[in-house]
Amino acid sequence: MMIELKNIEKYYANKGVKSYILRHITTSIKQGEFVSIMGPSGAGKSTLLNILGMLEEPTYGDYEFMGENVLSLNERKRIDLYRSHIGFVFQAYHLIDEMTVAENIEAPLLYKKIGSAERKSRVADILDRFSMVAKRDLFPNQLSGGQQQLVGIARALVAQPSIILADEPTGNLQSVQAIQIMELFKRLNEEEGMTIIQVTHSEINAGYGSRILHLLDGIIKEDVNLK
Amino acid sequence: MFKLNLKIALRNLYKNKAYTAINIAGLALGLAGFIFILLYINYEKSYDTWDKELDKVYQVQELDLFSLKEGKAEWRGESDGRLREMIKAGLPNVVAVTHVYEAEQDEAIVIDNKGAFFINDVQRADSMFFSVFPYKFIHGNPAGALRNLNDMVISEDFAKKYFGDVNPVGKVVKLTSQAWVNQTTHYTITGVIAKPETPSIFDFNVLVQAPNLKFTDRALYFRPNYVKFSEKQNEQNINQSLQKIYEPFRAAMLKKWKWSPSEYLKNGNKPAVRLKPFYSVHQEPLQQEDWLKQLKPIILLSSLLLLISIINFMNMFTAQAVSRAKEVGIRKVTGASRASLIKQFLLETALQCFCALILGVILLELFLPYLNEQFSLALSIADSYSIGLVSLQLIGLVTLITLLSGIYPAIFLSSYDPHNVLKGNFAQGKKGSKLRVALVGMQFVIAVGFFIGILIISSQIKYMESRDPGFDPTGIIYVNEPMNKVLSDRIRNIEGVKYVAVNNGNVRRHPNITADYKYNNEVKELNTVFVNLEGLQAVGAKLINGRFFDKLHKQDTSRTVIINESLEKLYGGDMLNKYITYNNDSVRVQVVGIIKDIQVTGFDKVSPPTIYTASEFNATDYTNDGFANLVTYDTKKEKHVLAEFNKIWRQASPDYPLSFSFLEHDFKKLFVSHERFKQMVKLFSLLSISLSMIGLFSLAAFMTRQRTKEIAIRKVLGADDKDIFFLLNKGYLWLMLGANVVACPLIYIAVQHWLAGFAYRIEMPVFPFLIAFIVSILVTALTVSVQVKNAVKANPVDALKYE
Repeated sequence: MMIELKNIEKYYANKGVKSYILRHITTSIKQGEFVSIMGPSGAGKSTLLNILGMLEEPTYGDYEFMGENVLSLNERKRIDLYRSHIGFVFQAYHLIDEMTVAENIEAPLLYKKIGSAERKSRVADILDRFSMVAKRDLFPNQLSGGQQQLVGIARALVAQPSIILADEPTGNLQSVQAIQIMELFKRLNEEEGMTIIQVTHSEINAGYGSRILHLLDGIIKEDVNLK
Repeated sequence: MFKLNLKIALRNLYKNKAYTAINIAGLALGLAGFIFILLYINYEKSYDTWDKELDKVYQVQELDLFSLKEGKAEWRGESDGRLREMIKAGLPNVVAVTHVYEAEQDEAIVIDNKGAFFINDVQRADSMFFSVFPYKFIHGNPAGALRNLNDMVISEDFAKKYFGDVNPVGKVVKLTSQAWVNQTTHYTITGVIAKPETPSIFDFNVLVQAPNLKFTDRALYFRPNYVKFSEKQNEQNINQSLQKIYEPFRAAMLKKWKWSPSEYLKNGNKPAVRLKPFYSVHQEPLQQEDWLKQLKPIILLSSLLLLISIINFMNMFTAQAVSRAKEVGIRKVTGASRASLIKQFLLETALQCFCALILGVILLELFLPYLNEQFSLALSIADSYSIGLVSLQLIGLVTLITLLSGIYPAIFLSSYDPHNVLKGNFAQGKKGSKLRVALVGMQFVIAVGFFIGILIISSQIKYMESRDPGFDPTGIIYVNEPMNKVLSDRIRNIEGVKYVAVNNGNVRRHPNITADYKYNNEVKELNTVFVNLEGLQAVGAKLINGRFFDKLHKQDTSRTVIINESLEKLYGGDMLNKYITYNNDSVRVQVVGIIKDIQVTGFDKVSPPTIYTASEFNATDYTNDGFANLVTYDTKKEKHVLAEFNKIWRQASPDYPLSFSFLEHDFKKLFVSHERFKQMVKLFSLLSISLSMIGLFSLAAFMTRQRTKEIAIRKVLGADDKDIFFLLNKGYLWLMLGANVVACPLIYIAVQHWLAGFAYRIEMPVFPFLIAFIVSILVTALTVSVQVKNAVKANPVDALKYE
């Protein structure tokens, strides 16, 4: 089992009043699944994704990632864990403006302490796979939104993670570009067995995946298997 | 509109309380230094402007034909006394002429038959003085003030100090110039003058009638002479007329002498005289540097300081730009013109500058007493005569600084394109960041330069203070009085006194007496110092070879000399028992001893090759030749010795107290100006470094804040604290490195120049450059890291939330 969530709760206490964001989330996600988390605004989708990505901590509950209890780990170990296993893709791309396409893609490898030669070859390889070799020296603001998101995904993949967490990856894109991105995710999932968890509003996007978690007011209302 | 802008400005400043405070405090420091200089300049400029009438007063200046400097005659403020009569008779519109001069010796005064004490600033003038200089009288009147030979006028301060509120007019005091030589004179106080509103070159406590001197062609008296005309004169015209009557007069005199005073006249030059406005006497002094020149380094330093604070200010404002972008966008959309935005931002700057000014003035007011004492000044911010001027200057200064520091940020901020800004994908603060880097770099250069400078200056001064001066100034007093044999024998018998000696090459007095000496058929003009038999032992001179003068060798008072190390070197070494001749070979003297160089003038100049010759005086009766009595005593018995000495002196000379100084103090005084320079540079270094660091601190805060998003992304990509830490520090460290590279050669040249002013100096050390490098890098890292810490600790989720 890749991910095991047991009774995850998240709330903010304000003047004695607890406002819940997540309640009693218990689920597990297997290697090779393509999960879409859906739900209206404020349902807690992003928070759940952040918890999965170890960017936020739940108030209560247990989280096992590849058999390790994440919440008992110290920060350094946790960073090591997600550095080597998790790739993030954001709605607003979050590329570093001052870096070129190639440099943006290379960034996570730097933090994994990978040798210069290998970094170069991996970056070249992924640029080739995404047909972006010609754009390697451009800056993010010289690219269209779709292209920027491609760079974002390339950056997530270059470190060869076991799972990709994507927060509304097509939220800022036009539909044609959105379809391209979703096709890419689907291919990654089916051909390379990449585990993907995405947060999305779109039924169409969700349709590319293998499973949908419907969230409402912090609770999993529905767990639909599409296969 | 203005009111609204003001309100918004205040709210904005309040919102960024910490940065506003830093901004204002930094600028206040820079301003305080600058205002101090401003006050000083005002003070110097105000010299002798205490009455409108003074515009009509001129000083008579004469070309000095008798002592040429490198073949050139110099103008002097003293002129032949006979010129006064000549001017009065020969020039039109002359109201009055006078002369006034300060006594050279200490003068002792006795008031109401109480004990005698020394006073300084005793001036002598003739009866026309008050016709030329319109002093206001508190008691007495100008017409009757200096009419008689024994009339005395005193200053308001002096009167208050010694007579209280009693009107002193009519009182008789005794003034004694120097024991035995000048008789004690009784003076009647005829007037008290009010202190002029501005400083004056005649800063007198007491003004007395100058003795009437008979002028002849053989007896010339050169004194400062002043003329008052009935109206302001055209300088060129009046000088031409004066020259016309002066030239034949002087030429006739020179002819009578049958001696042309110098080569100078042979080259076709003429004797000359001129009138200079009284105001220029202080502004353009003749034989010394004027105040502006002396002030230049300080003006430079304080301008640098102000520059640093202005840079801080600009940086902070432009760095804030990001957080103001949205406001600018919205304002523009709602119809604000660019000009109105610029006005608003300038108003904000002006507000801060004004606060800084007030704080700066308060700061200065707090430190002014200390500064006045350090530099022996009497500056004050709210001086009656200058308050209006100062306020105007300060308003001007604030306006200037507002424009300097505000115009760029205002233009920069107001240039934002509203649709870009409001869309939210506004490129954060990239614009103007190059300028910011350049400005901070400049600050770093200044700070590093100061740091290296102060290290080198300190080590040079330490070197001088610890260098062996070749004699021991402790336990020696210098007595500026003639003593006869009886008196000096009595002093010698005081328990604890080791020597009563003569050595006129001491710290207090070292007239450069030279004579031609011949050795190896080579004639050289050498520095000559007269001592008595114990004169060298008394100052603790260090014998290298041979012996000191002593009583056992009869020939010592005429046929032997002692020379210093420098002279031995000049003559090629091993001079013991060699013979030197002088007076065209008529006198032959033997070198009996070689001593270490005695550095009585400190270490700025090389000690000259010197011959010491002994005389048989035990002590000297001469007063004018700089023969000085030194009394060396056992320091443990200092109290006893001084008490006994005073007692003996009082019996011998009741109206003229003992006047002496400790040679050790005098020697230390040689280093005072250097020490003061060091203190000043130290102060400026401290301020500039801390201002730069304040600037860096707040800039780092803003930059870090701006890069929040980038930091968050990097963290999500797996960067750990260490990576982020280095990432954020890197830029500043490179900048500091660059600043070191730029500052080193600059400061090297500057310090080299400064060191060249010392004959005895340290080698240019490498150490301060290294220290500065290490310290600057460490301090930068530390300053930035305090800010970076927060960024490192922040949760990336907060920064990456999509709005």
